[in-house]
Amino acid sequence: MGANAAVNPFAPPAYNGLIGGYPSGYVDVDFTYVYDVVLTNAQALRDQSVPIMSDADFEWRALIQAAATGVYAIRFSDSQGYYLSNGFLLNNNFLVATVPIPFPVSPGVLFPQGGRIGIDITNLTAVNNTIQLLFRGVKRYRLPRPGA
Amino acid sequence: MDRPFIYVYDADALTDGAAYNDLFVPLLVDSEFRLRRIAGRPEVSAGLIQVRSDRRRMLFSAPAHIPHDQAVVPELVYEPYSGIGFDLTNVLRANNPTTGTPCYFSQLAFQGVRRLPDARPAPDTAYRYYEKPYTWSTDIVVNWSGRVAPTELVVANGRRFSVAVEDYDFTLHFITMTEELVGVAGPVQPANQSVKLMLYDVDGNQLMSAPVCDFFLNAGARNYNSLFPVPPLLYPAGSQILFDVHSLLAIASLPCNLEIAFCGARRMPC
Repeated sequence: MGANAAVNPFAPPAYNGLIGGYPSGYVDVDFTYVYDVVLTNAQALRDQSVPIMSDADFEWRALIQAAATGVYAIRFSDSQGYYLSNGFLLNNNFLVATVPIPFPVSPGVLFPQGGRIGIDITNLTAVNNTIQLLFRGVKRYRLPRPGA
Repeated sequence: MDRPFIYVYDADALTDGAAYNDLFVPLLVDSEFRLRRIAGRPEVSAGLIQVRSDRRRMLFSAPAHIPHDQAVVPELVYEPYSGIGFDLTNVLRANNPTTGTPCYFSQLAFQGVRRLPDARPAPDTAYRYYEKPYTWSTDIVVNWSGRVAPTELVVANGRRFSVAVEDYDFTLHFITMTEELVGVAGPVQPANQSVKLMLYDVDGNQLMSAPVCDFFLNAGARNYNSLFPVPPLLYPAGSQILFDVHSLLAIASLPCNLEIAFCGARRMPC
């Protein structure tokens, strides 16, 4: 007989429905942390934070540049201060031509509840640069233990 | 049983430049909805969006300028009797201007599946088969405007069409649409902002809560990563692919030669 009728082989995997591959005792839900910043002429900001909410851990899986009015360079670190690159990345890495696409972060980076996404960012233009970044991933909620 | 479905929010009644909280798309009460794709923010807003789960949990830590398409991973379950809530800032309704009221194509599309626990099982092919690629195409001349002539104030009704599925069962995998706006000597190109479509399954069930803009359905859309239906739909031999076409065109753009291709696979007996 034919292919599995529940799956459309032409569709992106997400359109076919992805359940969370989360560990036992947890449940994942789609979530996005948003980072908004306006940089002035050639401004460099160090040790910026996107705080992780205290209700759940966050697994970061992709970055989307939702908006930027100019070129910038950026470097990320996790809650322990571990840098995810040896230097600054140009924002063009997050684009195909001029179109933003999700920049994969694999394997996913786990941020504990109450932790932070660390950011160093430098404006490479001589004018104001309005930037919004989307940290795509999942919130990982801990399920109540039976009898707890 | 999962039925491919798109819940649509039409922003026609909103005001450009305004911000709205707690907009809501109510779900049909007979089934839960598994949200897998959010599309269309640029068509309704030059600003930001916040989307909520059925329990009002926010999907973004702050209102976000999401791109044309956003996949939802893992899929997000909305229980029956709930709805998809969202906020918008700086509304800007995309439209085709007319001599009267514009034809708006300012829509948000929430694509996923309705999970129907009590529905009869999806039809399946009764004979042994193998699949071969096949496309049922149909050519339509859209010679009516999105607003009723001559004043172009009142929204025009859609028109119903069908494609007969002959000989063998057919599995619909995706839809492509191509247009040629003869009135403005437009090129032959992927249909974009010209029509809305309402598609039905073999039993005549609507697959969308309201007619959906072409760019949300067209697998060849320019700005969107569109693909519908997911999961694929089976149309048995002797049935028909039923759909309504709603024009979004101004009188000045008419007529429009529209080709709709229903692409998939034929189930050949073996």
